[in-house]
Amino acid sequence: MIKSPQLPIVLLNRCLLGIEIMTAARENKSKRVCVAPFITILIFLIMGIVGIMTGEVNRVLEQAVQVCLSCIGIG
Amino acid sequence: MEIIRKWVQTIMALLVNGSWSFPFTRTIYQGPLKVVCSPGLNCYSCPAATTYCPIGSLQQLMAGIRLALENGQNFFGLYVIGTMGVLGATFGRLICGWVCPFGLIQELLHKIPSRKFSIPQKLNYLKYGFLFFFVILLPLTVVDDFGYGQLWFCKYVCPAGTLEAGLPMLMLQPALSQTIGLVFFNKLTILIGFIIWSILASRPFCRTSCPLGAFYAFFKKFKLVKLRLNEENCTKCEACHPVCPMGVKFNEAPEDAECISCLKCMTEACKYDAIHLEVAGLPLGSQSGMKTHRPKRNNAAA
Repeated sequence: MIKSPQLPIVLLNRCLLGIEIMTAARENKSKRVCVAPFITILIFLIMGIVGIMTGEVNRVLEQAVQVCLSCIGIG
Repeated sequence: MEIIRKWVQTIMALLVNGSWSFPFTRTIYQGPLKVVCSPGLNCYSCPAATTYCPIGSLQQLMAGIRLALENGQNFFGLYVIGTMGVLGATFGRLICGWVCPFGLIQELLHKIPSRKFSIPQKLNYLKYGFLFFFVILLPLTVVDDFGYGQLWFCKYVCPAGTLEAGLPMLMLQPALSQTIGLVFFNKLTILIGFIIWSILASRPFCRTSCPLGAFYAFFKKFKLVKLRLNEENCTKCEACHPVCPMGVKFNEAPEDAECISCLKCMTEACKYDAIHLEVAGLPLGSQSGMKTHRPKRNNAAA
């Protein structure tokens, strides 16, 4: 049984311990999982979506379905 | 692992060149799949090509940027660059090793018995020049009277285009042979040069001239899937050096831009579990799970 004057100190200690464990776990996790590739993928994904929204897909398709003879060195 | 890789390369080459109706239609595939980006270098004027070539499309967009803007179309190549970037940030040059059809062709050519030569490291930087000048700057700046640029890399350099599109189109439409000139013979000479070079050296086009490989190489530090060196286990025995088809000395430069993650160093060379594959920093396919960990070799004994 914890006496009432000691209760705040015990709770504080436990809170501090909890924060310490959480911080350690977070640090450990950040060492393991690399976030940079996800951010890079996200940036390019947004670029691609902007390209789709501007209608660039149709332009790419128009170009890709035509034989560009001069592009392959003929004509 | 090498057999699996060859199978993946073959399947991917067939997927991006999956339209086999060209002997009857005598032209290229024109279906909706052509909005899908080919991860590797594969000419979209190839009669069997089902996807678009990112390098060809990027040049087309750069060459026509003035006309597009004049017509009120904001085409800056964002869709193409975005797609290439997502592929690059996910796999990096792993695509060169596992997916690219022209990489597969070079590897098969290199199997022809002959004396083998190495490629000087300095030539590796040439491909960045091709990417910057031939794919972006020249199509963007050198324009005709109508404001339209040329596809410099496709027109004057790309041996994949000559092999996959130029020669097959000449066979399908013999009348085109009347229109060939100096540009075609120049490209044919480049193709023959790379074929001979591929027999004598490993993947010369990928290492010296491929602008797509150069683009993917920029993601060497930020790619999701990469090979990692465990320095604690590495004995510096250099067994990973001779097996690498790209001339990477993995134990000295584990984040080398030339690494195509073919996994030869991991599966065929390293006996000390010093190389593993990781996804977003998390180890995957580490040898520790596949074979017994051997103790560190004594350097004195080595």
